[in-house]
Amino acid sequence: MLDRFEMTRRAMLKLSAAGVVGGSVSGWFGTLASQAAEAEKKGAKTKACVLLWMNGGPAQSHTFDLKDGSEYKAIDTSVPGIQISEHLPNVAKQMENMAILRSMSTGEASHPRGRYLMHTGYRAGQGGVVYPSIGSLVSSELGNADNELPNFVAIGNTLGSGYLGPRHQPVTVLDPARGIENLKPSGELTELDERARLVDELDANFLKGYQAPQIEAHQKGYQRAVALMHSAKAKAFDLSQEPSSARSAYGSSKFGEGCLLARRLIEQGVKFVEVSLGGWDTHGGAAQPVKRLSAQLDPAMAALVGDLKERGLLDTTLVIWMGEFGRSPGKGTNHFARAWSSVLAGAGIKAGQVVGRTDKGGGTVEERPIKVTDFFATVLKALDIDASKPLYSRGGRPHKMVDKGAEVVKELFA
Amino acid sequence: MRESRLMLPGVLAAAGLFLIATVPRAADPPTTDPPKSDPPKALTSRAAAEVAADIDRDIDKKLQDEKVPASPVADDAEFMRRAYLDITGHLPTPAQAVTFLDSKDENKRAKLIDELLESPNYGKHFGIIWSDLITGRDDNNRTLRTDDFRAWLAEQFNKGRPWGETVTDMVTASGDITKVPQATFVAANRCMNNFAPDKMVDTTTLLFMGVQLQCAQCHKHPFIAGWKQEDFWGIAAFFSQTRTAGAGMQNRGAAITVSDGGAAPGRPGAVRGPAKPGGAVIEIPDPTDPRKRTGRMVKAKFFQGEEPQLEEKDKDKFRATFAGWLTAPENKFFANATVNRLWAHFFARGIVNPIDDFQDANPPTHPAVLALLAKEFNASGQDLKHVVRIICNTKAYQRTSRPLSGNTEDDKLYSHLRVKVMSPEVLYDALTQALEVQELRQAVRGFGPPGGGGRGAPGGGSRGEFVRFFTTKEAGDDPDEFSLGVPQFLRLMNSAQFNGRAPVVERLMKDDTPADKVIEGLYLATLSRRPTETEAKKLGDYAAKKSKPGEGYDAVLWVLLNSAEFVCVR
Repeated sequence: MLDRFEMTRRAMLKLSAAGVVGGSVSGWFGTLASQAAEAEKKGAKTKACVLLWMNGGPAQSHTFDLKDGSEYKAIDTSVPGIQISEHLPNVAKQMENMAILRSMSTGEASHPRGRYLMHTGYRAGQGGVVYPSIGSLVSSELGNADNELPNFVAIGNTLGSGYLGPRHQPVTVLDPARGIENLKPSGELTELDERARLVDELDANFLKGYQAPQIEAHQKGYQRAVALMHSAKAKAFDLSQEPSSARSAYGSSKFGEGCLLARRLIEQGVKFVEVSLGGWDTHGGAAQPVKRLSAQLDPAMAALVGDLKERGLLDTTLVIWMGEFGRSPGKGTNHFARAWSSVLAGAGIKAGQVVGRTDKGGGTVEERPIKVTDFFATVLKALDIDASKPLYSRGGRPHKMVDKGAEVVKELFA
Repeated sequence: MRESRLMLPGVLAAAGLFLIATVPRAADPPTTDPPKSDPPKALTSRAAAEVAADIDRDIDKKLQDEKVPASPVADDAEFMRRAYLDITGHLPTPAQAVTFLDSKDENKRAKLIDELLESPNYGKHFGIIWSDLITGRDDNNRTLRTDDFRAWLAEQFNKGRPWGETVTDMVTASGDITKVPQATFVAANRCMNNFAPDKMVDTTTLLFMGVQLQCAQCHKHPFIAGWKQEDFWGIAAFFSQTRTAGAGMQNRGAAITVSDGGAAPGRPGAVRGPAKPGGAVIEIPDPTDPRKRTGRMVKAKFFQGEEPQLEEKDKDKFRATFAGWLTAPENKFFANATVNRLWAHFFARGIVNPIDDFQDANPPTHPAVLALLAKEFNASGQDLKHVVRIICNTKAYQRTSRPLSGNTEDDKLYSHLRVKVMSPEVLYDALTQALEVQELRQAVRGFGPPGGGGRGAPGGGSRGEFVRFFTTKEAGDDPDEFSLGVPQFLRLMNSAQFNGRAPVVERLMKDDTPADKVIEGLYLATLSRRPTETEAKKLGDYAAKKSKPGEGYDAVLWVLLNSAEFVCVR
């Protein structure tokens, strides 16, 4: 049993030394070489994902599932027969690239529980562990340890990696306009290079005497950091590189900038980017606040999907739009997990359709209810992740990526 | 220095037998009174140096048997920095370093160990370590206030309180954590704002018994025969009446009150309806939905032991009963887990490793050493300083970390001491010390692990921000594992804090100090040693190239702070 821990530890130390984000690997029993690294060696490209997280629980009645007598007007989209909120006109033009899931039915109507549920696919307290958020799952299964950029970036705070451990925590960018902190040297880059060379020499000498893996990890880590400072890839975090036309297309809100940053990161091989937009918890009524939020959401989401399509990235990038639950039909005041909407785009799913249906009032799901496990299984399938593979937490305990009873939403796949 | 009688091995063995034959507690049924903390009178602890010698004999024999050569003793500089960091979490000041390095006292190492144990930083260091172990294990504790708890723990460590008493105090505390800091222990075991007895079982068995019982929470333990759900929930039943009340998790540092007022309804394991006869009872929940009922009731039961008789009316004694059993000298789990964890703190590896997985399939590498330390722990009245003193006085601890070609691969025989890495808390202090500032500048916006990243709250202010930013592993992970990544390196290299004129440089430059003395001073302030000739020349030449006075020294300081040797503990 001792071997169970020791054997992979040495192999894992090598990966840790190469890790961009850092993180201890002791006790973590994950894959020795990520699927992505293998796939990229063979020339295949793995998929990526952008999660647009609508914090607070967006009212479906005021966004993607309008009913008769709705407070907003319903407008046509680029797909005949599908109508959405009048305040999402640009998103409407991208409908042929999207699928609306109107029959989400998930049973958790408290903020923290719903947030945990929709990020992990599991209920809080279930199983006796903290489950990893979808971003950490993707980092684990599709991430490339050799990428100079992190595999999982969160613009705004999010849930972490749970039992998958520190290797798959997101790198958080709080302000997309500022990007990665401390990427520029305080003086001249040449001066920094000179100093870094001295550090390298001291480390090499120290390593010779002590031969400890940590010293090697330190040395490699510094080399990697300096390389990033020189690297074109780091410019992915620099929004000022974008033409002003792009910046205005996405909108000047923080969310808009976040979506633009997400596109740049995806272009440079980051596997999962989560961008948050908060304020959807409209207990006082959805009409006013959702109009304001839609003004931020609409240009950004449309520009993101449109850009990805234009750059040939949409087929390999899944875009998810959702919150922790929906809101009560009519005025969109209370939390409502019984019948709500999410949106998927990209990654080769069958777009331009609505899956599932709620009843006339919007209070129940009439057709094709989608549980959180169904949703998760669908997302994993869209990303070509084998959901039957067990993941391991500290101590060698196996876990399923999705809880049992999950049914993929077949309508989304050819 | 503790008073202790010198005892010959034969007498010691006889005294040990005497102890086992006469101690009353093993025979009587457990009472509900809190246990006395006097050590058994028949046995006293031995001088640390003597015990250390016994330990070295055992370690050296195994090295010989395996034909692994031992690396030589560490030089003074290596030993000094290591001892300071391991015992107090602080670097020696340059003045302290010079005093030790230049002292000709033959006993200076033993004296240094004693001195360090009396430093208030010893308590502070272990207070932080234990606070993190207790609160840092999950997201539910992100907003839990820990400053008072850390201070309280530091006090217990510094005054040398018997460990069993400290643990009992934490397990049984009730009240508002802002007034009763030790109650933070219970408050740190909540799920979604309610005290969770299953978390408490995890915490106590892992931290104080070194066993991984959590698999048995939901089913028969898959790897360890004989560990059943009833074992897990039998411990949880002692906490069936405990509850916490307080502001929601969003409130940073809010007051939380711990009491035995009866489980909050709807909480996992809560017994609904009229209380069952027998008092300390809990219902095993459905593992797939913690809110579903199963009807499987379990009475409070000591792990691999009996069910104590606990009446409903004694509900404020349930926890004390458990704590009494847990910390008793007869509980081998407690003594073994405690000394093993301390050993791992210094050696980067437990005698049983992983340190929280005592089971038949994971035997100790040096069972005699473990037994010896456990016995000394109990004989000294569960005095942690005594155990630390023993460990640090061993030859094994004082070996260099430089391997020989014949022992490079060894990582469990103690042929050389493994290199460790500073924790973020220690790194923070080391940086402020080296720079000679009171605190580091707080980064206004940083990027790094999401708010806590699964850790508890390391507090606010610049220390809290720094520690959160530099925390890339979980509490309890190997201390020798290097886990800093690019974001941390970028901050150390390029942030304003480490690119201005530091007070240490200003101090050293005063009075036209010659360059070689300044560089020596910078080495002492950062690496706690003097530079070699080669190093002095290389860095001296580099500094001399700079045109403005002091810029060269700024650069040398920068290089030293960014070197592996600064952040590693050799």
